Amino acid sequence: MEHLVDAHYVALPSQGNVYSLTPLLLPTGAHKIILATLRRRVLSFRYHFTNDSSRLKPLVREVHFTCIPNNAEIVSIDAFSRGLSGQDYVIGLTLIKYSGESNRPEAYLNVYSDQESEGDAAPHLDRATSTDSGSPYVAGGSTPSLDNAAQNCRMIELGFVPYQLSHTQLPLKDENLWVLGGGDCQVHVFQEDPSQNTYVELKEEGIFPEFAEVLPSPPLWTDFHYKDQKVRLCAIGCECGFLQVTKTSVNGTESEITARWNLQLQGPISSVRFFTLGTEMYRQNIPEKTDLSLLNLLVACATQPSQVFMNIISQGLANGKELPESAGGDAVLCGITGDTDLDGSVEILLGTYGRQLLVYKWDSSAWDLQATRTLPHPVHSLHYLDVTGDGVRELLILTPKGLHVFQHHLEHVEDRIEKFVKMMLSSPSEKESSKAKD
Amino acid sequence: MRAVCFVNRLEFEFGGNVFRSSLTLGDVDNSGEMALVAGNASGDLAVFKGDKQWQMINGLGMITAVGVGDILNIGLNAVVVVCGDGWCYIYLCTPGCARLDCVHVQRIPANTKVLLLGDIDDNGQQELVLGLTDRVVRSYRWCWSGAPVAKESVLALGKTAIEAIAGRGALVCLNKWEFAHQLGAVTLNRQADGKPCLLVAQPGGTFMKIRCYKDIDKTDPSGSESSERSSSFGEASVDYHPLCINSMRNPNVSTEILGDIRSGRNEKGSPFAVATLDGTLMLVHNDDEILWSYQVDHQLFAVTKLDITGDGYDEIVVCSWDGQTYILDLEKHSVRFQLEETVSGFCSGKYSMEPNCSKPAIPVLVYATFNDKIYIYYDIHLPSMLTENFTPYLQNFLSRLDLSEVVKKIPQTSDLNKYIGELLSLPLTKEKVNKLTEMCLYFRKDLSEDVPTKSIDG
Repeated sequence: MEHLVDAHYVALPSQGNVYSLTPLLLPTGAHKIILATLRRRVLSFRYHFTNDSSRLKPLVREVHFTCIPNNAEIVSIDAFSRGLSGQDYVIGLTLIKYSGESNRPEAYLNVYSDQESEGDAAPHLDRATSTDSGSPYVAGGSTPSLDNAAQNCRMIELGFVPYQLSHTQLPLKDENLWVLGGGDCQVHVFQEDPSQNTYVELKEEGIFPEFAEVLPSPPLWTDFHYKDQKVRLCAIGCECGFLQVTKTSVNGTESEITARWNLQLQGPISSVRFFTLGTEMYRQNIPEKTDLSLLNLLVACATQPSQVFMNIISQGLANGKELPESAGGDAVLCGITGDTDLDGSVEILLGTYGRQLLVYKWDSSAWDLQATRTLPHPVHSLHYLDVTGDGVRELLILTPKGLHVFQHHLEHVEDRIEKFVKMMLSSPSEKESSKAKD
Repeated sequence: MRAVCFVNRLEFEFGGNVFRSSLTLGDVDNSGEMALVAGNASGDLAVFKGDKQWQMINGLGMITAVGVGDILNIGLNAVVVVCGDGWCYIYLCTPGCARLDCVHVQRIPANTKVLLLGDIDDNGQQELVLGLTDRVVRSYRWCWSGAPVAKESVLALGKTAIEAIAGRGALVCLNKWEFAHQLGAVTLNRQADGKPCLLVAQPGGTFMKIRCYKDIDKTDPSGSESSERSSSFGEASVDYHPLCINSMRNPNVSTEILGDIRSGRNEKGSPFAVATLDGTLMLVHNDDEILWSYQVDHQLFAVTKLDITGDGYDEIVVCSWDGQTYILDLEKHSVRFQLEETVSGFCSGKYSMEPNCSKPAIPVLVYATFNDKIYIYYDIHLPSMLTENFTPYLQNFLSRLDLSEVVKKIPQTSDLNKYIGELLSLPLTKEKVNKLTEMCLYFRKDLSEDVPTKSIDG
């Protein structure tokens, strides 16, 4: 943690919640951050960088989304980019609106996308040329596609209170589905219906049999892991402490649950995350080789100690390892995994309501508390991804008052790369033998 | 504009209104450790060292300004406390006695607003400069009645040194300057000839320059006697510098000034900063040359200097009443920090976090708030004022390698290595370089391959 440097701080006009930050991958490889606040204001943050200079300029501006009623509150937000150019952004917002007459709140899922650019190559070409020629968008701090998308809303009325909004890929198709946790104790899936120009809830159990059953309490967090588009792991953490992990074999639109583990913990489960110790799971560019047997599950619990289930495929939920002191401070609101010290193995980071960031390290038999860091406000959300557009990731911490961006000390990064390259070049024979062992 | 959020701070309860000038950092007990001295309007003087209150002195009257320096000119720091009703106290921490004791009390004109301890006339001795709300600046020097007390005898006397010094001298007023307008801050600045001059801020971003020593260039026609007299009592020349009075938004706005900023320039003389309450900050060199000017939407009331990046040069730190703090280096790169409280007093400097240990003092920002609190932000080091990304570092690194040789050396055994080889092929685009960084840092399968397989047994 000592190598992470305070790079920027974005103050929020009003507070958000644990679901109110979403990253959006830009065509440059950097991420843009979209932040929703309860008072209906949505901010975007990104770095403006030029090719000739390494100086980064933080750009924060408000994105004006249409179709957000005056008395509504934004519950959760999620976004992804699609299309060949990677500039066709789709943003999902869930809202709750309290109407005066009845006590029952109305809930909506708003999906924003730039419909005109879908399947139309010409606008993309325009954008590419104008970006090269000195960028008229840079001054405004935003790509126009996001602004265009924000004006194009499709509103879906929900019959339940929305919780976490996320997305997952439809197996073997280049299409994303919205996954939304509901107050009716179910996980709902929404798919785009291009013919009707709307999104419809996927009711058939064929594709997602793991969501068929009603859970004992509302699901707070859902996480997926795909293996070769054939096997899907899904973990759901509920408000009452119920944890469900399923392994589903996917074959087109027909799916079958091949394994299922359930566990009842005490207190709300704030987050669940699949991860592997050594390597990254989410490889975008090289063939996916993650061995499912190496997959572990982080379960962040609000009141109990948070747990890690190692080698979940072979051991299931039988062998939970508690994260020491994770229940000592205050409720754990979020948890991520990532190699934040650049040593080649991942750490677990937990954020608590008691303003603490806890960092855990695996020592081959247990998770040890390696470091803590105090923040000025409760930690709502944690992300570890590249916002500076250089391949090195930054740690983002969302609190009710603002977003912290912590960057790696660049000399430290250079040192790590140098070590890695030296190792690559010095011992090719050793490596070959280690490869042979696999 | 870049913003940061400092988190780690010490918090002290200190009630009563703290005036802007009654907050300072200094070595009060001559131990080499930096402490915080704060005085309030109800006459309490508190000294903080480390995370504790070190001493509290009550009943001094309305403290309007404090300073730490070698006012007695004996090589030992003393604390000078000036009250609005015209009392000036000098406190000394004698060796072997871990508290401040009063060595001198003197009646001076009332209404002191600002205080400066420094050598204004280049004679090697410290003078006390007081700015009054009556538009008057006075300078004082400590004069012994009889033989001066040496540092050695103070050290030898130990606790009884207080009695030895008490009543043995007094502050003697050297100069009195009257100004046309209300004054802001008073500061010292080193000129191009290496000599100090006194700068007194005047409304509207203007200032007066006072030189308190005899001008060598001018031959004195009145003979040797008066020249001797002027050298002992100070001969001063006063210049008015309108700076950019015409372009100011409000010519009556109060102004702060700060000199002797350490810059990386090879020129003689230091630049100085001028800030106005309507939000203009200027860096000025050679009296009138405005190097740059910076506009903000906050009421700047305090200008300080502090080396936050650790590069040996000062950054300018300005603070507004609402807690907005701007840190600027001399190249005008800025970082913003918001204290979410209203601020009554602000200073920055070095502070010793752990007394009685050899750790050096670290840079801190000190805020006295209207909510009876003093905050010391201590974890404020910034490696650089600019945010950069890694791309130039990596390009620099790759330029030191022979890429075709590297590609040959990488074994083509795994998809990962093949992919790396592909990325290293010329020409290197920005996209490839970014991917390469990501691969080297986060996809190092060969480094950690064995770790998870070992761990399965658990």
